[in-house]
Parts: sequence; structure tokens; C-alpha cells
Amino acid sequence: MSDAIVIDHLTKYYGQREIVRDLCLRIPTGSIYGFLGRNGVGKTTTIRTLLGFEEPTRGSTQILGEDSRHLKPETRARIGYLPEGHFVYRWMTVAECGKFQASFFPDWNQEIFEAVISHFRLTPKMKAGHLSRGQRAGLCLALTLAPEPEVLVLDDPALGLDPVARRNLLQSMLYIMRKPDRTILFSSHLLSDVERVADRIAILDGTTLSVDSTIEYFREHLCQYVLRFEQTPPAAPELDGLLESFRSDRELFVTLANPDDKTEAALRALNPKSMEPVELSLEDAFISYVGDHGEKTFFTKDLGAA
Amino acid sequence: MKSIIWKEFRETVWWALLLALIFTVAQLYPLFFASTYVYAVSSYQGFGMLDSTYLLVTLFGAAGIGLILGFLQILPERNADRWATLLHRPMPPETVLLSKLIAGTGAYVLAVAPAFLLVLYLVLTPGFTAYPSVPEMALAAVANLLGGFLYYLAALATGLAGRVSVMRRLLPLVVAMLGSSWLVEADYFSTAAWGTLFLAVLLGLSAWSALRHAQSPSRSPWMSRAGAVLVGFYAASAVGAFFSTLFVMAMPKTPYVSQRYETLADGAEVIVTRRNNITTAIDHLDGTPYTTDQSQFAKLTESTIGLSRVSSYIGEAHGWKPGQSRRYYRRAYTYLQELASAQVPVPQQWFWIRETRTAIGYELPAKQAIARFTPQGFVPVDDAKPFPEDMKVRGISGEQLLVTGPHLAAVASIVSRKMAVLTDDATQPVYGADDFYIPSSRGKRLFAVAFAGHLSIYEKNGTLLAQLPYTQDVSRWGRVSVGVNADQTRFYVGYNPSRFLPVSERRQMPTFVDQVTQEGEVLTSTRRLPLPKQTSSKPIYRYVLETFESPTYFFGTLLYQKIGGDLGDKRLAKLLRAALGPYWPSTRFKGILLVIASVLLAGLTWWLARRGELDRKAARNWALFVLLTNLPGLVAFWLLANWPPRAPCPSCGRLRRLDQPTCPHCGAGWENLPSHPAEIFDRPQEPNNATPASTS
Repeated sequence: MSDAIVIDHLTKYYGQREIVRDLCLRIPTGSIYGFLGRNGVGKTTTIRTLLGFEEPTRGSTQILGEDSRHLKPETRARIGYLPEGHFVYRWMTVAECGKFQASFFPDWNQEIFEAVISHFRLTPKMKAGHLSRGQRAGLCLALTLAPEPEVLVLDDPALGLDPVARRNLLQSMLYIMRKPDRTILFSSHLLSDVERVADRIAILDGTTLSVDSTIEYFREHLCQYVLRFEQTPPAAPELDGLLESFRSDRELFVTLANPDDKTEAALRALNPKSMEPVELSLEDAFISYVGDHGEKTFFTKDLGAA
Repeated sequence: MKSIIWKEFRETVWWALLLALIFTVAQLYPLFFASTYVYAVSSYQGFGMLDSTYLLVTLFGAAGIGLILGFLQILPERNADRWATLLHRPMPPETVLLSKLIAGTGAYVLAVAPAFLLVLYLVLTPGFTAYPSVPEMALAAVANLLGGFLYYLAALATGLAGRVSVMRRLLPLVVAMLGSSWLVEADYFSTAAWGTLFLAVLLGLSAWSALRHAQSPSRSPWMSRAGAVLVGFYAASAVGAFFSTLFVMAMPKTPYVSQRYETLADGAEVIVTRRNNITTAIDHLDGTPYTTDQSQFAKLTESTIGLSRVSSYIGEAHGWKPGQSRRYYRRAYTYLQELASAQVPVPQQWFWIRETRTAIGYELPAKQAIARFTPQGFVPVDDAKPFPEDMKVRGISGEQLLVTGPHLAAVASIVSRKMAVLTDDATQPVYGADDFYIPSSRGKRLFAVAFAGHLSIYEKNGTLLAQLPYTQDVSRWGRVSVGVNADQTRFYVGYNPSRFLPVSERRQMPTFVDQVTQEGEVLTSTRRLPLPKQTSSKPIYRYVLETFESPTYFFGTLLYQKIGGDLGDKRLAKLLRAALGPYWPSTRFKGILLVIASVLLAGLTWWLARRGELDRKAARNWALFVLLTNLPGLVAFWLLANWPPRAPCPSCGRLRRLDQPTCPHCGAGWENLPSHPAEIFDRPQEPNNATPASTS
């Protein structure tokens, strides 16, 4: 299967500040990709570069086989883009927004537009400026989906939405996948949403790509061990893939990436009373992965001080 | 595209209407209230659409409207994601810009046109304003409105600029200000309009360049970049000229010494020497001091007998024609001239309208025309017949007008509405006429008319006071002037070389002043030899400033003069002859200086460009540009070159381009990212630096 999106050794600087470094990512046609990372790691910059609104400092990006810097209008028509913020022209009605957007897309599907806006309980005569945040997101999604794009790029689409609006958004987003060979790349901080819809995830960690895998693979390769001791637990040993460790009165929690027999043996060498692996949710796994690495000592220190 | 135009227009139309309302009120205020109608106005203050306050309002108002509309179209949408939403549509970004431009132009017209048309209607309709107007008087306002459009374009270009320095952002606004100064200083409307059009094209290209540059600095079309570079050049030139002027004003002035002949009140002929316009000596013609008492200088020079020029030649013109006076399109006197304004005892004001060659009187409080002055004398307003083509109002004494034609001289009284014909004889051509002051008479004047053989002096009511026969060869000394002493017993008639003689010849010829009685008896005749030409040396800083002018402009001007002269333009041919003749040393010196300075600065540009790691092609183009444009070009280069971002090389520590794969100094690539044990990939990753880097 061909790749709908190819990011090839993308490096991006703003002035002297490095935003993204040597990012390589291939998104196969027909997949849903969750693009994750903490704030400021370059997700939006990558998306903007991908859509040709920024120029790469080094490397290149392609979308639907075309260099992002020279996207033809016809190619752009095949790409749906929903930036964060859900911008609409506040003076237009919902119907006017649709009519305005439809004038640019020859393959505009009015049925989809109407289906999505009704899903968000919008009526054509409502003024865009009077819509709630969730309704505005729905309108924007309707405007993005109605041209039936082959590639859908969404930059934190659920930001600030309530759970119902988020669910509606996801359902509408998935509607596009009813047709074959449709691809979605979306960035989000809402891991439950990602878990619900994404086939694969890519995680940017400190300007570089650290994870590119299926969700299952990611969770399988991230493991937390709980080691119980008779006395105050020792510090976690220096281990390859150690993400974080945390000590309580009698327990040592160790989170590791890519654990193997060697790491387990090293943990057992601490002579715990018991040691058991804990399955992490995607959210916990993500937080452990992109959070500050090393031993979390603040809590024990506070207790000690008390 | 229609949709975007509609959207843009819809977003600005209410602002445009609001601005139109404010602009209309702002324009009507000076028209009806600021120039109070109960007092006479003057040509310098302007009338109607040339009223100085009205012009200020249109100049600054249009600029403000242009800026507001331009920024309104860009800034609210300039947020990165909002802008991306706008541009992420299946159309080139140029379509968005063009749509904004079309809608913005429409909004601008909507904002400025109603006020303009309303004012035009009011000033051209009798009964609304207390002064006449001709349609051409609207040209200055039209120019101001065109100037405002430059600010609109500049706001677009400034707003569209991406991550660039503030200086670079402001360049289009500086060029818009330059445009305003061009149109204010231009002599002719066509010059102002062409200049504005030229800058509008540059600013439009600059906006295009800003749009593309924000997205992809290295991929802007060459035409848009050329426009942006020229905007940079003109902005740098304008700022340079501004600071040069400040510098020249701050520098000590070179003393300027001048000498001229004067006739003192007692009839003595003297040479007055002035240094920086302050009298330093008054000498007899033989060089002996008239007085050494410096406290007397001011009193003596204030009461000299001024000679008013009556004719340019007498007899044969030898092909010479009076030069066309500058028809400065922003001055009321180009179209009409106020007559005897301060002297009319009733609140009336009279205007000489050049176009219709009649004079028209207004009663100011009623804002009504009351009469016209025509060859038939004073007639009702609607019963006007124009004077012959070359009829002129030569002089004004009180409320009396002196008007002359080829054979006609007449004095018209505005108050009594009567015209006294002084001469109307086809066999007696009139070579000129003027009014002149009677000293110590509180502004009283006499009229002089130059005939073939004598000068006739009239009182203001038309009574012949004296006939003064010429005593010199007026076929060569035909530039006759006249003055009178306080008790009107002595007339002073000056004879200067006729205007048709070449300047070089005139400079060598003496002049004469006769003292003549009222009866025409010549009491004395003084021969004035040409005084040595005064020169002032140019200070060195002037040369320094000139060194940084554009050589393209300097040599281009010479070429323009050469081509124009070859095509028959006498003025240009004359200018070229002067530059290559009497001023050749100065021309050559300046030319050499400019070439040396440009070559040095072009070399500096090349060095800076290569040092900043611009590629060879860009460095060469910029060096060539600076070679043609000198220092302003260097400033434009500094501000506008696409300086590649650089950082210290991790290998050798020297600065290297971030967009290049290898270091030009040590050849190292970028540091490979070490793979770390926490990476999670379920498929193999491509090796680092496997593909060539993009270049810019």
C-alpha cells in the first residue's frame, strides 16, 4: 500500500531555535494516525509544514505524492484540514458557511455537510458567531468533511470540547473512513479519543520522533513493575529504557520501555518481596513516556521533611 | 474567486461606510466652516477643493482610510491557523491576494468617493460656496485619494509580512509616505498620477512577495521579489534623503556674498554688498563708501527705489516667447487668481478665472456671484464674453485692475464697476504693463504701460501722469523697468538686456538707469557695469552625501537629457549642454565619485553576502543591484536578502547554514541522533541524513 504522507528527515528551525529534528514518518494510505506529544514539541509545525504553510529547514515532506512546498490546487482539494481554534466567519450563517466553502470544491457533498451539522444539532439559519465552541467545531468539521477529502489532517480538533461534542466529532471524523483509501492524521492530547479511533500513533518527544507503532505495540513495549519490600525500597537501578521510578514507603514503581529478561533480572536483583507487572492505559503509558524521566522523589522528600 | 471577493467585501463594507461618513464630515467642515466666508481668502490659502485645510484632510484622511482598510483585511486573519484555513483551499494564494485587492479597492472607493463627489458637486454648484471653482481644481484631491490607495497597498504588504524584522515590515509604509511627498511636490497632476501608479505597482508586488515569502522565502516569483527589492531601495532612499536633509540643516552654512545695484531714496546710485542677506557695505559706483555708519544700512536699504519690470523686450521678439509659468496643479493660482481682495470696501471678492478669461465677483455672505468683468466692462453673471486669448491682469492698485492685451490697456474699478480704456490702437502695440509702488505712500501704486517709443505712466483712475521717452537702444535693452520717488517728481527708468538675447551675452552687457522728470526730461543716466558673479564653494559634506546617490539616476538623467535633446526637447538639450559644458568639471567629478563609491559598495555587498553564506547567484545579483543603486541599495540588501539561518557547527564550531547537509568549513554532516533504548518502533527507521537536504 502506498503512503499518503511521507515526512523525510524533516528538520525545522525558527531562527536559531530547533523545533523539529530529523523527523521521518510514513503514513500509509487508509490508516488513522494519532500524532502525539507534549505542548511545544513541534506537532503543529510539522502539520503546517506538511500542508505547505512552512518551509522545511532541511528534509522534505510529501502529501498524496506531491512535495508540500508545491501543492497544486487540485491536490489541496483532496486534503481536508481542520486547524485548532475552529475558525469560522462569525457574520455568516451556517448555511452561508457551507455555500461559501462549497464554491471552492467541485466535489462538495451537501448531504455530508447537512448530516454533520444535524449531528451537532445545528440549523442552517444559525449565525456562526452565536455558536458554542462544540457547535463551531461541528460546523468546521462539516466544512472539512463535505468535500470528501482523501487525506484528513486535524490539529487537536477536540481541544476544549465537552465529552458529547468530542464523541460527535469522532463519529463524524470516522464517517470519512467509510470509503476505502482514506487517511487521517490527527494530533490530540486526549488519549482516550486516540485509543478509540487510531490505528497507529507517532509520538514526538523533545523535537524528535520516539514512537511510531500501533497502539497495542506501544502499550506492549511499555511496562510498569511494582516491587514490594520489607523495608524502605532502594532506588531503581540504571536500566536501559528506564522512564520513571517512584518510591513509596514499602514499594518501588518502575516504568520501562522495551523491557526484556535482562531488565527483569536486574529488578529481581533488588530482592523485592514481590514483583508484578502492571498494564498501563494509553494515557498512563503516554504520560510516563513523555513526562520527566528519572526518579520521582518530590513526594518522599516532602514526607521526609514532615 | 467571486466567493472570496464577496467575503472580503462583506467584511470591510461596514467599516468602509463608517469611514465614508467620517471622511465626508471631515471634508465638509473645512469647506464650509474652516475658511470663513466673511473674510477674503487668498490664492495661497486656496479655494474650494484647493483649500489648504481641505487638502490636508483629504491627504491624511485618505492615508488613514487606506491603512485601516488594508490592515483590517489582513491582521484579523493573520493568526497562523486562521490564515492557513483561508489559504487551504483549492486555489493559488495569489487568488486570495487578488480577491482581497479587488474587494479592498472597492471598499476604499466606497469610503472615499462619496465625500469627494459631494464636495465636487457643492463647489461646482453656484450658491454653496463663496468662490468659483473649475473642475481641474479637483485634481489635487484626486491625487490625495490616489495617495491614500498607496497606504492601503502598504498596509497589505506590511500585514502580510511573515517572521521578518520590524524594519523590513515598515518599508512599504515608508514608500507610501514617499508617494505622498511625490504627489504633494509634483508640478503636474500627470506626474503625481504616474508616480503614484508606479509606486502602487511596486507595493502590489511587495504585497505579493510578502505573501509568498511568509510561506516559502526561497520560492517567491522573481517579479514579486524585484518589487520588494525596489520598495526597499525607495524606502532606503527616502529615509536617506530625510536624514541627509537633517544633517545639512545641522551643518554650519557656507557664507553667501552678493552684490547688487540699488537707487537710494535720494537718487544716489550705489552698490549694496550683502553677506548671508545682511548688508555689509554700501558703496558708490566708483567703490568709495557711501557711508560707513552700519546703523544706517538697514534704513537706507529699506527705502531704496524699487524698479518694477514692465516689458521683456520692445519691438521685434526675435522668436522669443514668454516662458510658460509653472502650472502647479495643487495651487489655486494655476486656475484662478483673487483680485483686489483686501481693497474692496464691501464683503466682495473678485477672481480672475484663467480658463474663461473673465473675472467674477462674489458677495461672500450670500455666496452668490454678483457680476463679471469682460471686454465689454462689467456685465451680469450669465452674460460673459471672454477677453482675447493673451489678455492679462497686469497689476492691481487698491480696487483698480490693470488689464492689457496686444493693443489694449484698460483700468477697471471693481467698486464703481467701470472700465477706463487707456489705449486701444492697433497701430500702437503694447509690449507690457505693470503697477509699481509710490514709496512712503502706504501702498499706493501707479500703472506703467510700455509702448514702442515711450513708457506711459497712469494714475489708478486711468489719468495719464507722464510719458517717458526711451533714451537707450530698446531693441537690445528692451527689458524696461520703472520706479518713482516719494513725491512723484522723479521717475527712474531701467534698461536691461532684452530677454531674447542669450544669457551669456546678457551677462556681459551693462544696464542703464535714467532719472527722468514727469515731463520726460532726462536728468541723469547711469551706466551699470555687470557685477562679478558671486560663487560659493560647496562644502565637503555635500560631496560626501552626493557620493551615495544612485549612479543609475545620475547617468540615467544624462542619458534622458541626451535622448530628449536629440528628439527635439530644447529644455533637456539645454540641461545637457550645461552639464557637459560650464558644469563639466562638477559633472565629471561627481560621476567618478559615484562610480568609485558604487564599485566599493558592490564589493562590500559581495563580501557580506558570501560571509553570510548567501549562494553565489544571490551574492552576484545583490552586488549588481548595489552597483546600480549605491548606498540605498546596500541598505535594501541588508534588510531584504534572504539570510540563511546559521548555527555553530557541532564539529568545528564555526557558523554554518542550517539548511545545508554538510559544513563548508570542515565537511561534517549534522550530528546523528543516537538511538535511545526507550524508542518504540514497530518498523525499521530510515538512517539519518539519507536524503539530500532541501536548499534555499
